[in-house]
Amino acid sequence: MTADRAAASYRAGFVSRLGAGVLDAIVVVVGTALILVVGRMVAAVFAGFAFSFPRPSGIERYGALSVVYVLYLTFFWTTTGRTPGNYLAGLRVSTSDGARLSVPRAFGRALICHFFPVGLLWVLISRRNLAVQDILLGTAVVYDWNARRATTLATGSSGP
Amino acid sequence: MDDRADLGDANARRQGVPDTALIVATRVAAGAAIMAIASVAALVNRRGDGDGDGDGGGGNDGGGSDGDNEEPSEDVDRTVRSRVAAALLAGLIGAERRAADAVQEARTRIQPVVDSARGNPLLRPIERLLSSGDDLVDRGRGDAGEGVDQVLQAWDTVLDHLVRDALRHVDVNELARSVDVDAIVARVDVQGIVERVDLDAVVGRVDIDAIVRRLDIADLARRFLEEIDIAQVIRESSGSLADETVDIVRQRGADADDRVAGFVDRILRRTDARDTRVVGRSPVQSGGEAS
Repeated sequence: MTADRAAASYRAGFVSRLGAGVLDAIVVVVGTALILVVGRMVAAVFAGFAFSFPRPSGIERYGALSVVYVLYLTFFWTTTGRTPGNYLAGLRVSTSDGARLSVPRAFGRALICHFFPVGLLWVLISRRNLAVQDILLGTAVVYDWNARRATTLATGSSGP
Repeated sequence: MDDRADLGDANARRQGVPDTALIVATRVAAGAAIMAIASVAALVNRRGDGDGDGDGGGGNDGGGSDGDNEEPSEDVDRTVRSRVAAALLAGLIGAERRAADAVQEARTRIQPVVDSARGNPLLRPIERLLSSGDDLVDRGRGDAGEGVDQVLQAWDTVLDHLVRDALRHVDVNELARSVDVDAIVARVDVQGIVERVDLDAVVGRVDIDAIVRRLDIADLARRFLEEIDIAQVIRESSGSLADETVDIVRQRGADADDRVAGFVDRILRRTDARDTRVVGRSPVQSGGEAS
């Protein structure tokens, strides 16, 4: 599974990662709402509850979203290395040496991303395009959609 | 007619019942005249028919080719005679009719007188004479009608002969040669005829549905699809389209990354480039999903 081939990748910048995060947030919100509604429907059909659209309180809503979001990030980072938002932005999350994240590291990274999202702003400052969570957990977010273009981009950006 | 009627009327008024004898005598005379006329007409007719047949036959026997030429003139001769006879007969018939009408008129006017005198034994012979006069009139009329029929028949025959003779002298070939067919054709407006033909109506009568039914469209389409791998085409086009769109989004994102990084670096007065290179195992290889 691990091809020991040295390959050059480049850490992604702030805009791509922010866009991927926004997309993931949208997917999670919509998905959570769908899960709640479908769950109510299933409950109404099989448990005899009267169906009504869920009206969770603020805390319930935040709690549900938090759980779904963290699980969502962990699942995708540990399986494919990229969430749907990452896929569209052409990004992949890996360890600093390019390996796929383990479940604990992915889970920890998901928690930081969720509860401390401003950590992403460090990408703007970092000379190596690292966010706070990357520094803490030794991870990296790299361009991964077209080697030639990525190389071109990186060469362009790394010029003096 | 009117004269006679007036005369009879005047006589009847002037002389009374004894004038019946005069009326009867008039009728008898009229009947006799009609009979004589009819007889003459019949005689003339018969003689004309007989002459025509006889002369025509002789001409054919002796003259050979001349017979054809003589026959029409004899026919015409006979026609003239027949027409004269017919005119005479018609005149006589007219006169007879007028006489008969006058007698009838007189009889009607005298009838009351006769009726009053009926029963008188002295007048019976006169009555008998009167009725016999009526019979004579009727018979005369019948003969005259017969004569008219014969005359009309003869006239038809003459016309028939005349037309046939005229046609015999017409050279149809000569006539045809004199006809300028080219001129006639030139006068035909072919363009006009074509314009008058409603092609739309003709096309409207064509049963296109039937033609389409005869074409096996399904088989045609199947063969067409067999020639091209439509699934492959769809795969390639949609896949490349999606890839292209996503690539554009990614490219824009990467460009924005570079600009934002460059902006921040300028603010921070950094002169050396960022070190974003990751050296290690290829994430593409380690990731299960090929991009």
